[in-house]
Amino acid sequence: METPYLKMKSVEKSFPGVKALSNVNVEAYAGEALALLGANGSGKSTLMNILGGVIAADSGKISINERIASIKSPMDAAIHGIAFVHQEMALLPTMTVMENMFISHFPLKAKLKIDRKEMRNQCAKVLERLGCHISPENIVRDLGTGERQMVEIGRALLGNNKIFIFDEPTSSLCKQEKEKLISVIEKLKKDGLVVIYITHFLNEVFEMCERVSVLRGGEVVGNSRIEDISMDALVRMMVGDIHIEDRGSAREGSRSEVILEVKNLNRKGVLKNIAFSLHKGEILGLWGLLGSGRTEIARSLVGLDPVDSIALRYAENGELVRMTQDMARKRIGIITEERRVDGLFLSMSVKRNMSMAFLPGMKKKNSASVDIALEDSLCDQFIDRLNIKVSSKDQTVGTLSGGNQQKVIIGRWLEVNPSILIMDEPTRGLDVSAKAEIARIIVRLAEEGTSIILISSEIDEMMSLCDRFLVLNKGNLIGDFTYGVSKEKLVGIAAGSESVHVGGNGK
Amino acid sequence: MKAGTHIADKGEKIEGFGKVRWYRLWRKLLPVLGIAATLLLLSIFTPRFFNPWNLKNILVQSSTLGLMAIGMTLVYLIGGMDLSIPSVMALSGIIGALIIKNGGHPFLSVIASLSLGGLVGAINGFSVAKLKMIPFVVTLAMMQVMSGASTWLTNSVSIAVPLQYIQVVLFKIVGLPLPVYFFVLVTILSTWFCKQTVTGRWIYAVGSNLATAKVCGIPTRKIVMGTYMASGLFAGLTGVLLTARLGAAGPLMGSSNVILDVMSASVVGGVSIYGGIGSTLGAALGAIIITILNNILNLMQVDFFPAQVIKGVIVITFVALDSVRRK
Repeated sequence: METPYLKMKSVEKSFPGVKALSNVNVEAYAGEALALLGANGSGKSTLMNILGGVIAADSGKISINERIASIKSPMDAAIHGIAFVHQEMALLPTMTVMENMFISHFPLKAKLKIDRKEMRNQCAKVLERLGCHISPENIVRDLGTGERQMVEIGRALLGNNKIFIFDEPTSSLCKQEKEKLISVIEKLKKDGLVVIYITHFLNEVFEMCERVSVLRGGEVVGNSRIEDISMDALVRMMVGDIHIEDRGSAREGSRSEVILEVKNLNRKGVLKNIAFSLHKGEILGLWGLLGSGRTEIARSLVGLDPVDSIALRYAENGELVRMTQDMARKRIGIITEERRVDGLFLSMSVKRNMSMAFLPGMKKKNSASVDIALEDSLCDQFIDRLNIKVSSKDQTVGTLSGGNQQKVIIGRWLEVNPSILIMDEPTRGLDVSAKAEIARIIVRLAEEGTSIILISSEIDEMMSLCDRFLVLNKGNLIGDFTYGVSKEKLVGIAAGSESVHVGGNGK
Repeated sequence: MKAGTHIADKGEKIEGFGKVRWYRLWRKLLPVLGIAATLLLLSIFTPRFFNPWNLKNILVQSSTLGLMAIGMTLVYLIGGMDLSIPSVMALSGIIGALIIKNGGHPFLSVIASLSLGGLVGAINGFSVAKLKMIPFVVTLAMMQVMSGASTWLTNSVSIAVPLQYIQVVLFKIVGLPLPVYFFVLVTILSTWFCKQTVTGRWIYAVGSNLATAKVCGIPTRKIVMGTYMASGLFAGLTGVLLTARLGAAGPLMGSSNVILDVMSASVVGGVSIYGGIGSTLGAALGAIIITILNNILNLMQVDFFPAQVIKGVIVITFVALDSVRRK
């Protein structure tokens, strides 16, 4: 019986308030690829960060090549031959391919001058080994995504690494690039290296991995050779069978009048011919993996992202009329994915943050000035209604907890009171009670007649809140389901396990 | 889309409100008070400082510097900068003076000066807002264009304006000339505008976080464009007033050390060069402080170059304080 090259045994890790990993055992073999699967928050990233020396485990052992390895820093990880091929590529765009590959260990002549000839030779050798037809002198900025990835892999190969960790490597690649990557991974395996492959796309797992480990809620729920398991079984392992509160049927909303109709939404390489409609008072979930286009759709509706084409129609006095993106921005509220980046004015007060979208509506009669009394009372009203914990409405918003910051943003849009509200990951990074509170607010808004487009990476949250689901895969709208669809179905389709026709109503 | 349909009256008083506000104000004012106290101390030992004629002179000089600093502050508030202000001011004055010299009506001359300022501001604003160019580069190049044009048009010779024109522009009310009233009026109006109106609030929002401002539906491009235009317009107005005060317009009145005074006035007045923080009232006070500093250095007969060193150090100090404040 063959022994594993990498062994992680009884790994435990807790963060304040959360058990991130408990008793995790994972093994990877030389010349094989191990697929690491799991939903968001299942502990994959934590586990890999421990292996990479980015964070320290509370307990547990790592052994490499049958020797105990102590990995306390990224330096240690490099010494043990562990290399990451990053999801968002960590390259220097204005420098050449070879400079990027050698950036941390330039070959020197007389310990002073960079030996360009040596660098070019070594770089060319590695590129050839990868079967990659770019010149060492090419500028990285001019390369395609797939080629850039090759540069990253090349950099890892130069460092004489043994364990290659790929984190979602295909999410931004086109078909040819993907095939190319697969052949390179095959080569790495043939050379006796260990590949750890993190992905959401299940078909890739069957295509190129020998083993699979599935994580859920910080525990390993399955270790298997790939030929011993079916795709359905994998999906079941990933989603588990957590009980979801059954509310019987979808809210009235999803059967009532259409309030917004989107057609012909295109953006080259990102969104392909997206069309859907939104009903009054419904919660419409956009479900898909990271990079599937869900955030891009949301931002396109209000003109925050560029589009090649879009046709919007909006219900006005019972009739659908054409609407431009500029008009949409006045009618549709959006809570963006990254509240610290484009959700808040961090250095401003709670009050200023909350009134920022509704200022024109707060003008005094016959004057350009803002009605401070109205501003104060609106702010008080929503602090009260949303139960926002602040010492005063003049408190700087950057000093609030994540949940309260999110409520401030919700309050901002409630002041405007739009008939459509887009919420992109509204509960990300919040603790359990804050999550529940935000969820209650979302349901209440829908019941009061607001139509909500909801995006969340957490399937359970989506299942319990949404009346209807649109499923996206690589910029294509591939499914439209009503409440009652199974969790396995949603997860499976988004991960590409089966294809469905648009409009097909699964059960 | 009507809010305010159900505004509940919440009688509950939130505590600590006043305290936080005063503490913030105190921290904001501390550096300015420090420099003001130093100047007061120095002024006691400065011969002829408290001479009424000198004090009046300070006020008149602050008014032109202050108008430019207010324009600069609007641009700083949205997170930009406008280095072209003094050179636009000079060219506006020159164009105005040339029109009068060639028999044009003084009214036409004033309109031309203001229009030039507004136009150049619009070009700067368009380059930054629409073409996404870097403000530093755009306005530095514009400064070059303006001062080149000034020297070219005048052959480096100042162009005198007739006495009647001067008398009208510098018309005295209660012993103080018109520019001082302009200064006070613009300070009050711009402060009200920035703090009380919707557009004013939007200016702060754009400087505080451009991405969030867009998400909030704020017309960010128009705001950016508008502040640069205002800055150009104030430069044009300053050109008119300064030409009248000097009795002539020439390229030298927009020399590069003026821009340092404009920047100093803003940052000493508590305006953050990173955007979103400060007020035009602060910039106006800063302009008075910088003018007093210049005046004292002058009366104490400090040479031009050491004086430049002192002023440069003050700007660096205040920008450093600004950086610390942001952390």
